[in-house]
Amino acid sequence: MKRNVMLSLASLFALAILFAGCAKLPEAEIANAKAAVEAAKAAEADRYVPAEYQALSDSLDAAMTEVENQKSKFAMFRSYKNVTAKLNDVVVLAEPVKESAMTRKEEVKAEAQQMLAEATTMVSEVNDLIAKAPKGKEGKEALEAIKNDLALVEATLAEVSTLIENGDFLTALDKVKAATEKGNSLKMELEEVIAKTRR
Amino acid sequence: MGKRGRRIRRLLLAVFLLVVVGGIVFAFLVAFSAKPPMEAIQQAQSGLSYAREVEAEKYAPRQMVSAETTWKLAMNEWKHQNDRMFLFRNYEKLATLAGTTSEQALLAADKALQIKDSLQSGLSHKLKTVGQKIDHFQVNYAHLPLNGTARQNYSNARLRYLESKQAFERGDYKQVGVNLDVASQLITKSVSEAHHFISGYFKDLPTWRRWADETIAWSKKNRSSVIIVDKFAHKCYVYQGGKLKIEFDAELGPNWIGTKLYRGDKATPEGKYHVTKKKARRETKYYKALLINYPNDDDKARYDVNVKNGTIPKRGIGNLIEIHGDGGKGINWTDGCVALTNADMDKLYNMVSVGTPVTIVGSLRSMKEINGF
Repeated sequence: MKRNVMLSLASLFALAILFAGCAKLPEAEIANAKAAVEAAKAAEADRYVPAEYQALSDSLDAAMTEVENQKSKFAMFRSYKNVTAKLNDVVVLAEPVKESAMTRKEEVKAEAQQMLAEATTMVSEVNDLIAKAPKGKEGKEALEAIKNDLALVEATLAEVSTLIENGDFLTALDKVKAATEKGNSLKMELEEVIAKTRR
Repeated sequence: MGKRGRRIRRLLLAVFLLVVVGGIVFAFLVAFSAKPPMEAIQQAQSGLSYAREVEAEKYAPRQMVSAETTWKLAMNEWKHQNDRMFLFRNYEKLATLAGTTSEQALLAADKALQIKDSLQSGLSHKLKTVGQKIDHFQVNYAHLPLNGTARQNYSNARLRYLESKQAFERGDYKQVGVNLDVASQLITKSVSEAHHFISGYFKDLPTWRRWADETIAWSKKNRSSVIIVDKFAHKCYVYQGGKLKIEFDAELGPNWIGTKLYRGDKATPEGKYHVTKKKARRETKYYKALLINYPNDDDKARYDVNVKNGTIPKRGIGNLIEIHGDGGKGINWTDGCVALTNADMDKLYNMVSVGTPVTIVGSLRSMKEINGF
């Protein structure tokens, strides 16, 4: 009788082990990893640090594939230990990627803002030069043409301001660089005319 | 042990054996149950990763969307199969979908690389072409008193071109394309407008050349000095005995393209004239001057016809056209006169006398000779 009881207990114990061995899906880790990658994307990591973001996104995809792979196994043989580690790695990796994106974005923003400020100063310098330039018959038409060109530069700078406000710093930088080059050529043109007139 | 005890023992033994046999059967089933096609899945993932790396989303969006959609279907199929009891799982569809994803991702990557390469070389070529057109306009037309929107379009084109160059340097070919197309259209329009404007002007070239030839022939015949002003070249030539003796840079009225038609049009006349008066320093506010006989008979006849036709205002034909000093400003600033630097004016003043022929022409060279068009 005693032996029968022992056998029954052993069977029950085996069944208990069987069910206790079922690993649980690391749902919180999955959610955290996905949120971390989303946060990096929200910080425009895909635009400002594309290579780093790509690596991060690949890590998440690999972890999610591994999750599904584990789910393909019979419950007793599933193990989410490695997956959990991978998902945690994604969270850890996401932070510097996000930081890099934000830093790069800030750098581009600062560069665009600085160039915009410099270009705005240059526009007022060109306006000062226009005021100093020979008037009346000595170049009224030439000045009109320069004023029209300057208006174009000013319109471009207004576009740059809007782009900066909208957070499109890379396009803003392209535009402000082009406007600066054009503005400098106008400035040189005016300085040359003024110098010649003073001879 | 009683009869009942033996029965229980047999029952437990049977249960135990059932568990053991069941376990063996279960292990057998697990071992031979369907397994997900991990190799195909990993290949699909690598393919997608590569496609994203080469910016297929941007340069081959249609192909990339297909690959991503198939991948989503594959993942959903995998989840669906995983939700089924392991005995009934079938990963064949997943394997097919994963394989299709790989193919589509590689196709998207290839297409993206192809488009990127072609865009890069095409845009590089286009940038060069637009840059050359802008330079051509800058050298040949920017200094001309053009009508209409030619200069504004040129300035706009130049800004767009510079933006395109920036975007090209950072590899944003889509952005390059947008700006460069606009720049190309604007500069083409400007060049065409300027070319059309200048072509109209150059239709009098044979007349101008004839005037110049006649003036030089006169100089040779009479062994005298003559002055020829080439407005397009902004040059003032002095011939003596039919030979070019000296040339000076000249500045004109702002509307120097086209002949003078009426008072205040700020145009420099074209025609055959002569010096009517030499003005010394005290007699002019422009250092020294050579007054010419504008308007001549041709100018007066043209003015009358134009006034009659109503093509010009009845403001008077104008007068007091001179070759004078105070030039060297680098711009066309006179009211229609020809301005030289004071040093050049000194030289010219000493080479000519009252009666010296002064022929003012639009150009001595054809447009083809000037800018290759």
